Amino acid sequence: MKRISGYSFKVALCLWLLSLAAAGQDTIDVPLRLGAGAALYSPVAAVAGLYPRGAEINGFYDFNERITLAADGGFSSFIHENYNYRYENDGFYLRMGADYNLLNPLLARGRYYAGISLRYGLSLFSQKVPSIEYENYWGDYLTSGESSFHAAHFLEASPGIRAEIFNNFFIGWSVNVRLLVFSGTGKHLRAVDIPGFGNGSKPFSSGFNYYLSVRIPYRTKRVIYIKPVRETEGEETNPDRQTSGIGR
Amino acid sequence: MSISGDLKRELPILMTLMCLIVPALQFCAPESCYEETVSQVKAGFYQTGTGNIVTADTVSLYGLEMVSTPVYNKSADLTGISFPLDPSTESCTYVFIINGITDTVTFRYSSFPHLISKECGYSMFHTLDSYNSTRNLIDTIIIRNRNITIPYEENIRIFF
Repeated sequence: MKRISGYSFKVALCLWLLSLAAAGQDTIDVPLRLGAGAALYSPVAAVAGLYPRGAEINGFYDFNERITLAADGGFSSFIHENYNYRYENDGFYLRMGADYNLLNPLLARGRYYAGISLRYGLSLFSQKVPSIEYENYWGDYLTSGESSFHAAHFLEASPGIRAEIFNNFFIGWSVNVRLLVFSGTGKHLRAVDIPGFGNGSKPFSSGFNYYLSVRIPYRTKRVIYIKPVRETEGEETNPDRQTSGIGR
Repeated sequence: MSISGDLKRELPILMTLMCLIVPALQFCAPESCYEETVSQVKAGFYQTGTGNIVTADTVSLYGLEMVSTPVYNKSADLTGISFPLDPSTESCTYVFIINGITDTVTFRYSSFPHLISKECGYSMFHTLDSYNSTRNLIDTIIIRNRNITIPYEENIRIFF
């Protein structure tokens, strides 16, 4: 009985391997990379006279051909002046998470990315409101808010794209949608801006950013891409056409 | 994902171009403020004894020494009124003239700034502590909600 089951298993394994061969498969060597880069929005905003101003650097590590572990860190300075108040803050932030490449490895080849990133963010900042003007029935009233230090937490989802322009040099951009989990400021003197997040007076924030990065291959991973063949009578199989594929 | 041979060749070029071409920018026009920014005390009129809502025939209301700029000037058929507190002091006095009878009420409170939004800026909210009132028409005032903010929730009930 033992011999029969072992023999049956070997037959089944051979049949499965033959079916793979009949379906067709590609083998591609995908470079896994690690590297660092910088976001461009804050320095460009500084040149253009906009706020927030600062700098952000990014670090990346390809876990596999689809998933990249990433961390962003930066600082920002923000000043906002309205007709009735002036707000200032300075702070640092850190975002950590992962990117998932929606392109299959046969297309991406370790050079192109179109996917979505998920991040957890922490922001440490100090804020002050040097002037508040308030007008009502009793007249004009001037006051201010004292400097205070806070820690905020948020989540971010960022669909984006990235491409290798020349040897190991990448450029890309992403659209960011963020959810404020905890502002740390209380419900009255909320932050007008939270470094790394955006408008702190609302629970959601959105924006976009450009990135430049250098990503160096640290090893190569062989990925098997299986092309299922549609078995229709009289139809010839075009080796250049894939109906679906699974990259392993 | 079915990709033709031509598109496979063009895909790297397309992605490179997409990264180099500036994407459509989000609108940069500054947002406007559409919210109320002045906090007010919301007061309802009630009948002594029954506790029913009562309609005042005429109401005039002005701050002490501000008779030339009334908040209400002989307004008719009101079941309630709203009025702001003075954020520069810890108390302010209003003169109520309800159905032709004058009463003076002094409110004591604390004040603090509150951010409405980035576009609207800050308002001054208050925490109502206590009051003093003459009793020519007004029988009693009950403080229902000490938080003087912007949403229209009743803060005090004036019984007469």
